[in-house]
Amino acid sequence: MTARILTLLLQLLTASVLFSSTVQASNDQATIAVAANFRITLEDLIADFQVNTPEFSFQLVSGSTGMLFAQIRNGAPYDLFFAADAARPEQLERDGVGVLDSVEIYALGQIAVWVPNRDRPWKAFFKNYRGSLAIANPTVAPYGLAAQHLLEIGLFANQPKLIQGTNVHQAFQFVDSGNVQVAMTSLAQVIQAGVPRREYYLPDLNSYPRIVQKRVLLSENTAAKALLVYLRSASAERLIESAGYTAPAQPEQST
Amino acid sequence: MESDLITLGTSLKLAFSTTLVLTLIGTPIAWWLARSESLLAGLCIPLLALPLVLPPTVIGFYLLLAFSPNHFLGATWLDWFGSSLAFSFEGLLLGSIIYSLPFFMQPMIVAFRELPEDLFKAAASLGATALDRFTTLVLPLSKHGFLIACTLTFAHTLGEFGIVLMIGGNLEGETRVLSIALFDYVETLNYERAHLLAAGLVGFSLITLILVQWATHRGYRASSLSTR
Repeated sequence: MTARILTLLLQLLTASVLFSSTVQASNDQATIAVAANFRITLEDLIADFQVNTPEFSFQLVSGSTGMLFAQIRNGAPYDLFFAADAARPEQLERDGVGVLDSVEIYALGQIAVWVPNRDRPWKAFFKNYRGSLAIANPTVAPYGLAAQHLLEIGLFANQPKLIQGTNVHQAFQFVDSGNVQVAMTSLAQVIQAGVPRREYYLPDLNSYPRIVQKRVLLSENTAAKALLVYLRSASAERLIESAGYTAPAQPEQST
Repeated sequence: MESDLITLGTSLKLAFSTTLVLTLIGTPIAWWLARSESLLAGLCIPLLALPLVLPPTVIGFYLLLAFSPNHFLGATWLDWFGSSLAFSFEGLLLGSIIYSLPFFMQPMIVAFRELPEDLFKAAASLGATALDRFTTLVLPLSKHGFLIACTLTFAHTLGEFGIVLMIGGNLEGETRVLSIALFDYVETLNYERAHLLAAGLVGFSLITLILVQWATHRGYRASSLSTR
């Protein structure tokens, strides 16, 4: 009985792998791995791109950069990878998994300090706040690392107790659910959630390490390459900026 | 390495505490459920099995909301203890108890049901009090049930991930457990340390299952002997 169930499971597994690889083979369709923080923005970008090029279709797989990276290294059939950092795409290029010279900056992230219930001016708030602070895990998330840097240079006069989420979304959600009062999250996240401007503070961009998000091409898929061309356009950059990122003004390309 | 030991300590503390609390409150409930034929008991049994089929994220999500000071549980806890229930060891313990509930209750209910009823009647007719019967008959006869229930609860709590991820907050020495540390190592490409933790968990789980298998086997033999 158990053996039969196992055989059945195995067959299902093989079938699904075969099925996904046949889907992959089409050149008009690309599968894109995207860091969770950029997913919604990428969906908007793709929607804008498809207005003029409906022949291309895209499937998005989102998750944390580290997890997607591990999947790609182990043969996940993605055509394009939008990471939340610079290290992972560069590593893939070095390993020969990514297409040579295809690593590019696509967005620069920005930190936002979200305080839903603030009863005093920002200066007084940072001086007097004694409580918990939700941040993204600094060992995993570049936003967490930047947040930690801001704490080290004394953004808060009193060191808050740190509650770590796996990423900026979770840090945001800890505050949103009412469990923590303050979060250091991303500007993109607060914009996406429709947080009013008076509720968040934007630390000076030069006061923390730049949050560079890079992408890398993983195959010669036509749809993926067409999308890349669109992403370098002015209208794509405007969309990226309105989502709360700084678009790389002068694309740092060698080609 | 030192941080891994702290994490191991937190995991063990959580697993021990969960097992202890479940043994104390779960045993009498399991006893009642095993004997009662009331409608309430009939409703309780599927309810207790719910954490078995629900994704841990469902439990984590509801707990996160319940722990918030905007809601009754979180507000009451804050009133009584002056600290937040979310992102604390106590909060994690509460989550683990719910999460591991079926792993304790199911084996105990089965074990209690297998106990021979006539033996208790005989003991009672010989003048044994309820407490006497519990300590001299129930406990020794359901020994293997306890062993299975406790080992499964312990191991299941140790392997908990989804709930901790949602209500833990990754605080060292408080809510960072092995599965979370492993996740972080994988994320940061520290595969060497990840292997260490992963292999450790595989080894431990295997030993646990062998132990349970052995106890179950003995249990069957014991119960078939006693009913004969």
